[in-house]
Amino acid sequence: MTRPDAGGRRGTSRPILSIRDLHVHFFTESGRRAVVNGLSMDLQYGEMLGLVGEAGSGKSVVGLACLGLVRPPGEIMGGTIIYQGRDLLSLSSRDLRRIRGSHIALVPPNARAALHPMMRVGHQIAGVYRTHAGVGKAEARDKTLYMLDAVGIPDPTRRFHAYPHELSGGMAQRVAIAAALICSPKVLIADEPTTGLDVTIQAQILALMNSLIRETGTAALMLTRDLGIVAHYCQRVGVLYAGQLVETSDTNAFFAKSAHPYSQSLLNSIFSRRRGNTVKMLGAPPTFSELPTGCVCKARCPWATDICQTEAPTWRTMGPGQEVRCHWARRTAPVDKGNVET
Amino acid sequence: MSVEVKAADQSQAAHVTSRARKSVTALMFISANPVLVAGAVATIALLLMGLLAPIIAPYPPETVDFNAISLAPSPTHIFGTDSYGMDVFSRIIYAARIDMVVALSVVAISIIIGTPLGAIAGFFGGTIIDSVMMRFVDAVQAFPAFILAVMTVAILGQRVLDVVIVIAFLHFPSYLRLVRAKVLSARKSQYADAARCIGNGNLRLIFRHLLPNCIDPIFPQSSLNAGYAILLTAGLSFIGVGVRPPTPEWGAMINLGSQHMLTGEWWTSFFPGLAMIIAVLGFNLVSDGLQDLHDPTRRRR
Amino acid sequence: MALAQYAGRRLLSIIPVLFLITLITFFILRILPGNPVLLYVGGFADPSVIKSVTKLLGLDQPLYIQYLKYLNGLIHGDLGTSFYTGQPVVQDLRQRFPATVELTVLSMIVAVVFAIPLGIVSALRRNKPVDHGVRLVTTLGISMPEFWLGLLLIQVFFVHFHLVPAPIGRLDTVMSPPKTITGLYTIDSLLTLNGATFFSAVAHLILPVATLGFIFSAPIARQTRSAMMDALSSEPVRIARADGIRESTVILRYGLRQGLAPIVTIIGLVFSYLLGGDVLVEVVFAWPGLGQYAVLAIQHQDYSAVQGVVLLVTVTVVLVYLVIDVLYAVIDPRITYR
Repeated sequence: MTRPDAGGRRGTSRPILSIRDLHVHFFTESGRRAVVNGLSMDLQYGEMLGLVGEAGSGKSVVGLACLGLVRPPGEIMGGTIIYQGRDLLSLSSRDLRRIRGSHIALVPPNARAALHPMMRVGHQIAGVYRTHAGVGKAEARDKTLYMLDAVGIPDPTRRFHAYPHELSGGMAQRVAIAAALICSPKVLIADEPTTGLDVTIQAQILALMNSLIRETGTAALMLTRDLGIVAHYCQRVGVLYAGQLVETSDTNAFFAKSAHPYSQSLLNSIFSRRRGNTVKMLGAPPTFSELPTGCVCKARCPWATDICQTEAPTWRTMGPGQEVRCHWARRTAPVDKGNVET
Repeated sequence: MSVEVKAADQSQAAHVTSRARKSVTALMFISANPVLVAGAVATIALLLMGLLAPIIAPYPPETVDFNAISLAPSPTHIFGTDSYGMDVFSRIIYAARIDMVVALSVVAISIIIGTPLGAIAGFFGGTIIDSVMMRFVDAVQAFPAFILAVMTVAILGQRVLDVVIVIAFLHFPSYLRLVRAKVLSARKSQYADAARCIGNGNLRLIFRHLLPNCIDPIFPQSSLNAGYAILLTAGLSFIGVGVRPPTPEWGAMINLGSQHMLTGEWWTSFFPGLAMIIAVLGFNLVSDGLQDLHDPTRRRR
Repeated sequence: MALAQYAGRRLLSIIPVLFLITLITFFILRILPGNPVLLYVGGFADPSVIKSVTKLLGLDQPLYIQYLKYLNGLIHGDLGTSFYTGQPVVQDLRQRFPATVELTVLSMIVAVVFAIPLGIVSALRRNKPVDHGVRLVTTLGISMPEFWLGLLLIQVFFVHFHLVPAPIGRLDTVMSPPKTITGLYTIDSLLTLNGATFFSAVAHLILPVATLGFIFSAPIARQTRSAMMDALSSEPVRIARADGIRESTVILRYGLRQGLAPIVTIIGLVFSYLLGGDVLVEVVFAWPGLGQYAVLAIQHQDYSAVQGVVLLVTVTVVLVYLVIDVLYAVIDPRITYR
């Protein structure tokens, strides 16, 4: 599977979506949780960026923040998200609503539970189109049928009238993709779109999304735990740990010579053969009530030393398109991409 | 010497600190659960009022005084007197006894009946046992509760016990349904399987393992039902089939007052109603508060 | 069609319940202590009189025969004769049923019209002053005895301010009721173009409807609030917002639609309760409905009449629940899906 070498040329072209220093905190019974801690990231036109992280790393919240959907008990404490020259976090709810679904769209995980259980899927998809395009029922219906066909649903005319519980998981996911793409958004946020699906269906869904996005030149933010998806479809990777980006890289470079210890431990956990590299990180990512001093990885990192406890590392460029945030980042032995399991 | 003083000081300081800590925790609890606390305070206050009636009531509750008929509220009779000259305030306090006793006994009895039946119905859900039980409960619940209560009390008798029996009978289905619903899903859970694997028979499984985990929804409901019991008791007494006069009971007092309403004598009905509202409100707030405790979206800074 | 099949199945399933109801209704009076004959003839009657009356009433027969006779009577529309009014019970019920229906239905409409929007607004403005206000008022509403409220309203609006007519029934004493078409005075007087009667009927309805409407809007509003809160935090609502759907559409079509089931349930429960439970309001306002009839019958120990009322109300309740069950299936297509 070849990927066009878009390369993560930071700063060489204006990104379509630009997140700067995002902080999101959640206030719960058990106290305050800093879920996103100073995240900065760019999404370029037409690229698919894979945001990788374990459960609880804050991926979904980043996606929600881009849509202005962070609600109590979550609260955005600071930062900007620039889209088309405007800061999404300072927009009125009316303007945000216009952008959602039409400019920036979401593909949710587990579509079967995310669709309205009492409304026919065709009407749901058409509803999105009618809201933003302001067209009549008939035109929306035609466009919906077109989209249902485009996402590979057989017999679209009949399936238009189906309820979500009458569809299989894979079909429901296709419906969700149709609803997300019907207004031709510029940015697609895919939040673990293959959760709960069979492996073969997963592959189909991902291939479908990939081809649709290629056709339209849509930029995509793929939130996932699956490095295989990243390897096959994404041009760039961002590794999220405890609400912070610890590495951003060209996908090629990432799999060839990933530099951050956490990234390496992720790669080690899926590869069958890796020469000479045994970095492992045991346990779960921490949750903070506030940004700690020092590096966020200090509790789990096998390379941690004194400096890691007290000083937060700054970004270091390891190579073209590869930046890492670690005091001890270094190149590692290269990996044969053929061993990647998806 | 100084060491001992220091040690004594320290232990005293610790004592004070732990007391301070306890009151801070108490304050935090109150501010986090105002509804629950308000309801509990009201309910307990009324209970105490009933218990201490002989001490706090200024006048005996059933003594007729024809010299003091239908007096408007005044310093000597805070809530006035009724058409028999009985002090309204004192009667309200004594009436708390009856209504609270009824409420609490009803709740106790209907829980004792409804819960095990619900557990059995839930455990055998989908089978004949469950179907028959639920049909029966459906039929019982379809009956016009109030009319049934009136009829039964009129026939059985008008002792407090009769009222309690009737209302308990009307309320047990609610617990039955709640417990049944929980047991229905709990019987498929992993801990149920685990308990079965180590050799527990059905009966033990239901009552020792499943039931303790399924009694959560009972608490808010029981507080709610206590309130309903008071309203029902008062309603029965209002039309004359509840507690017999001259026993002071809020509904009966309202009835007495209603007969003289057209002549402008409003206090005889008004104050007993207020007292009843406070009592029922107390129970309802406790119920709400208990439900709020289980609300996962509560926010705290 | 799946819905028709479902409705059919539900219809069949209430038949055993209806049987059970006739059984319970019949036996309630028989198993309670006390000899009904003595109530008819008095405790000091001659034994021979007691014996002949027992035979006359058919009470000497074995119980199952009595029950079968009772069922037979039911099928032929014979519910016995009222001891008190002297009329057949069926006739009494036919006269009084519309009065209760008029009161109940109007109160339900008022309650729902106020309760549902309040519940929705309360859920939307969660933990804000509006929400706290609604919670306070509705909690007060479910804690309030309806007969007390009725008396209070009479005290204020009739005795003090003279704004409404005296609470002595459905019409002014000097007026005669309109021609009976539906039995509902408001509709009948409109249909017969009888303006004065119409206004009188409405005036007499104001306080009792206000009383019941307020009291019963409380549980409906509370349930609406709770159901909406759940619905608004559901995944479909989140995704609808993510798709940029208009907020009003999100609230109504994605929110309310999902939360409709418990709201319909509580409306059904309230309505069923009202059918038998507005007894107290009927007593306070001297309303000649089923509730007042039941109370009078009980006070006069007229057990055929009581039996008749109980049966009528219970069967109506069962039918209401049946309608609700079918409504569930209409609301939520997952129910009929096998």
